[in-house]
Amino acid sequence: MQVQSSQEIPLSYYPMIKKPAQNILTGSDGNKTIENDWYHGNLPKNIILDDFSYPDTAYSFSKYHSEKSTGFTLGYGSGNYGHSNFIGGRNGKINIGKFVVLQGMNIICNLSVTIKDHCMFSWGSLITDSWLLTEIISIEQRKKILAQASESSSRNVDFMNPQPVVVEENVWVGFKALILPGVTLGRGCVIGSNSVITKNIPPYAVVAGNPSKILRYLDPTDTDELKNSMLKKFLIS
Amino acid sequence: MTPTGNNLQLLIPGVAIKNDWVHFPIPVNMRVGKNTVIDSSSCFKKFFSALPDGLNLGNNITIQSSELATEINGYIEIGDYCNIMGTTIIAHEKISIGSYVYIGFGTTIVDTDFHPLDPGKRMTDTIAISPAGNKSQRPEFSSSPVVIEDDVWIGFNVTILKGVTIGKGAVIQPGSVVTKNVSAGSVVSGNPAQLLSND
Repeated sequence: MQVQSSQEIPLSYYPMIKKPAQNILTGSDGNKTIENDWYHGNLPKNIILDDFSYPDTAYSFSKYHSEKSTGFTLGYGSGNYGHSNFIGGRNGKINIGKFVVLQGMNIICNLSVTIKDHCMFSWGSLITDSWLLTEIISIEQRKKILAQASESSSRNVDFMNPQPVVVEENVWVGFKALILPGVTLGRGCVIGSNSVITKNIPPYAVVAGNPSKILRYLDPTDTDELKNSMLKKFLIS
Repeated sequence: MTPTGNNLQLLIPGVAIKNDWVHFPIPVNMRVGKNTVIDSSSCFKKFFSALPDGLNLGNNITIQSSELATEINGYIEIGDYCNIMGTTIIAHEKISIGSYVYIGFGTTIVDTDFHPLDPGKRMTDTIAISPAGNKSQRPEFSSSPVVIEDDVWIGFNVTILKGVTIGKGAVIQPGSVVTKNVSAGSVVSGNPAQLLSND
């Protein structure tokens, strides 16, 4: 595991921040842990936590089995709160941008889940790039998948056809909403609680329901000018 | 310190889980098959079954971040090769799960209403179950066993309510609320769950 500072935020923004959000400790065996973690486990080695992120607890990685060189990144100013679960198979790659709020949410990733900057996820919400495509997975194949899982040390269920999920910038996802495989959530959209999202959502749409419907569109007030002025205001002033 | 990764280990009646982060008793009144693993005793925080075997687990089962809760007469049985993650199963009577069943994260399966529907009885129940009350004098409420047959796959954040039987090989799409029986081989979705297709 590496701890690194973000390349993209200008260094001049740093002075006001005195210390990292959480201390990462390195044991005599080289394993990394989070200081004062309630969960007595190590962090995986193939994750990148920004110096100014809040990973919360190693418990969030207890069902993470990625074997990618970098299987998980948590960007500058992003936080995991209320022990979210980052669940993944050996080929899973979870990429979380800057200023992202993950509040007791769950990610199931056997291929790729990307969350861009400024997104917020409420408790019980779940993103998965893996689920059953019944038209192509027979009962015999399903049995095989479960039998294989029970023989592996990770016990992870390797779905056959994971489809990447992309959450564009500044998306807000409500309680217990579900984002299913192959979906792209457009910039600035809002997903109502308990929604089930099976198709791409256009930018700035407000959607709710199961199956979900577009209720209305928001004004795109989240400009780059605003972002830059707010970064200056909060990070240097 | 545990190694990196999960804390899965063989479940043995009455034997504590190593490196556990909470310490609830592992029930002795259960049967467990071979190669069935669990990550924490938090699973049994609300396991109150007083039956000789309140829980009957088959072989090759994986249970992670889940809760198996039973009332005093509650009974849960789970067949072979099931994979259960982030799931809450609450049995006042009986919940039966077959073999090769997948249950996705955030799912809840219950065989009871927990409280009476009638407003007066419900108000009475809030008093009976309070710290000042007497749980032996609770008003009646309805419970009915749940049966999930072999080869059923249940998606994420699904709710399965009392009295439901889900037939062999059915698929419950993510986010569904299942209030009625689901026939074998069918696919259901929505709240309440509706038939999408049938083999």
